[in-house]
Amino acid sequence: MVIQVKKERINAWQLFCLIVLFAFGTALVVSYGSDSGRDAWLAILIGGSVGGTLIFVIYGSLYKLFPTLSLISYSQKIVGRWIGRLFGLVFILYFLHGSARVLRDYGDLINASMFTSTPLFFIHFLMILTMMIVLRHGVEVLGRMAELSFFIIIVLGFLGVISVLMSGKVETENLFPILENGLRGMFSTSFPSLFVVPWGEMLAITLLLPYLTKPRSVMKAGLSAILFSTVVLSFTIMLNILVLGVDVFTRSNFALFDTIGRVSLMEFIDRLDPIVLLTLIIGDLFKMGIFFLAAVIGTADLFYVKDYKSLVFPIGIVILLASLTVAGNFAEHIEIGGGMLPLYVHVPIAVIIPGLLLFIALIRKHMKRS
Amino acid sequence: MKSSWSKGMSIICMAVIILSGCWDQKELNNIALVTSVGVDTAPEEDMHLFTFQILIPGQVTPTIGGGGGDQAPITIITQKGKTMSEAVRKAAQQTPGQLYFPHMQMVVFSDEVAKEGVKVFLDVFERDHELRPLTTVFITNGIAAKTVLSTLTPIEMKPSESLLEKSEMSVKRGAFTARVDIDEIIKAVGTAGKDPFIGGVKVIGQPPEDSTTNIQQVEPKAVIIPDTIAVFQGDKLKGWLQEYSARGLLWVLGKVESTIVNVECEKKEESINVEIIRSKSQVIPLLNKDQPEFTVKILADANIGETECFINLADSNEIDLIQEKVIKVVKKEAEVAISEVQKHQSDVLGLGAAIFQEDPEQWGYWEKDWDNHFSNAKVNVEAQIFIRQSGLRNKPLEIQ
Repeated sequence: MVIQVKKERINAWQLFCLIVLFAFGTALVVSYGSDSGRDAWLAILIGGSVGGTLIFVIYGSLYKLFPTLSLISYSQKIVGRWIGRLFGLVFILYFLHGSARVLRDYGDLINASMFTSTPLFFIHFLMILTMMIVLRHGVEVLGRMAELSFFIIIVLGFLGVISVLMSGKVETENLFPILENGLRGMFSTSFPSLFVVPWGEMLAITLLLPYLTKPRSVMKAGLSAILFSTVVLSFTIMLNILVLGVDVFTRSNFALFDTIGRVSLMEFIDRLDPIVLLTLIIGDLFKMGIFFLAAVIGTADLFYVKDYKSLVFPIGIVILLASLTVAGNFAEHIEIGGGMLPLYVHVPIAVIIPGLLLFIALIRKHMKRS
Repeated sequence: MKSSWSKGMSIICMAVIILSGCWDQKELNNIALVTSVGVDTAPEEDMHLFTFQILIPGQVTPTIGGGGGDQAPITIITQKGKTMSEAVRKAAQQTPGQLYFPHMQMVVFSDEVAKEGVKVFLDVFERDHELRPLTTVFITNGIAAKTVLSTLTPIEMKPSESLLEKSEMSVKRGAFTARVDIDEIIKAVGTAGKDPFIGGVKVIGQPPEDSTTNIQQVEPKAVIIPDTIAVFQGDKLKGWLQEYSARGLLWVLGKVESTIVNVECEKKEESINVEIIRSKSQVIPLLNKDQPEFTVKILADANIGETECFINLADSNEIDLIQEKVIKVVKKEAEVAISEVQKHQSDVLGLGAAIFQEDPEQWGYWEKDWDNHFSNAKVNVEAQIFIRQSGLRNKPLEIQ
């Protein structure tokens, strides 16, 4: 089905902001890449610039082959209606699960750090309610909100970094020795997770691409956003290690929160935790929202629903309930996210299937020509 | 119809958003602000005696002339418990307000507790969101932690505030003690080849039975002072560095902010005071395969503070001579401190970590038996002192 509603548009800059906020998500504030110990920043840099860009090249090329179709529609075109629909269903479940997991990330961190007695349900409810209202207004509003939030997050990041650097808590020796176990040691701990999280999850972004004003700008916006977020993630994690040391960093559930808690400037500029909490809220709002939107658009496309907006509330409620049952406790949640998901879910669904689709599509195109 | 429905919904949504922050609300008159916690050993096995110092808001800022009443500005609650959380909950019986920790400023461990290990107490400071990693820690030297928290002192009546201010001043001006927070201790305990050190607290005089009488004297009967440095192995207290060896440790760590070094004049009973204004240091591991060896470089800037004897400070050769003497003193203090911590097998200098950073492979061989390798390590101290200024006079006053 060709997406008929072409009134809604997002431009390349908004796409850039959306991708960056999506990549930040929870990764920016937790001990992302802590399996690689003190080399986490390097592993992230390599994972993002190699894994992230390769994965986005797959998505971007698929989009260029079918600039007016969504992921769900062109997979039906490429591998036939029924297998395509099966893939579509898998993708939608993947987005729903992704959205629920991000919501849970957010709820658990807020629960551990600020609102210790507020029930998880209410924390999640307010978040999903906000996103439901945004998505009722459509993709364009999400895009414009991303622009504004990107600006806020950059200002917050700037304030946070300056205050951490000025606190005198940065100890450069925490980074040494670099590559204690060699490159191979680093890859054994960071592959595949840092190569696919959060980059493979960007599959959700592909459902936004048909709304782009200039289809040609997709690679430029996408790849620059991925490189930018890789650098910011790597730098933030490096800052965490510099301030906390590798021991506290790997043991922390909420590393950036710990880092900012060490800041005390002149005895009166301290407790800058709101900077980190706002970063967490903005990042997770968008990551959850983009997964949510992808699930909504995908469902509308798969089941021929004319206006995807009518699906926002029902799917939102599914996500809300799923977020509460997706894991029994925080430990289980992290365990699933760190161990099982990258290898058994992200790699097959977000890398292998799209890769296959692209491969088949390219062969078909080539055969048609000859 | 539709607009009134959406208006109603939006009001409900606003209320939900704003009020959800009040889920865990605590009213100011229902909380008991804890300013510091003391930990002592209890006679029963496996128990500790926790002392919570609580601020009494009405007594903190007495109006001038009127006086703040006869009540002390603080009160303490003591409670036995296996862990701090247990003691906090039990203490609820003794206070009408809920103990509230975000404003806590310091934790005092008694030396007996520290000998058994402080690791068990650190967990709650990392885990609980109300407690802060920047809380200052002290180890008592020969007194109970409870005494430290309950002895009122003049000028600044609240014992915790007073001790913290004294500690800050003495670190800045004297460099015979250290001010260390929870965060630094956790990092040192969690780093291989590094042990923590913590500032000590002593009492001068005899604390009176009735603590308010202490501040009614012109010269208080007891004063709590920050002094000496406690050195640890892992999380267990191993020994104390007193006076000049404490300063020696700070020289090696580059943490001397300002202090006075005395050097002799030609006549031995007269001396010149050299005022150190800043210092830094560098520990360089020499990659030596059979025995750990290090070079410590100490750099400091100084001024002439006071002189008893006649020297011509306009003469740069004289200045060089004084510099040499200061270097000797600094080197000696640093060497004494190093040999003392080696005797205690307490790697507060982070020498092991320095090897690990330079040569992880070699560290792998030494790591297991590091305590012994550390106590046999060879440490060469090099010091450089630069005297920059001699104040407003060059030659001192002479009797003509």
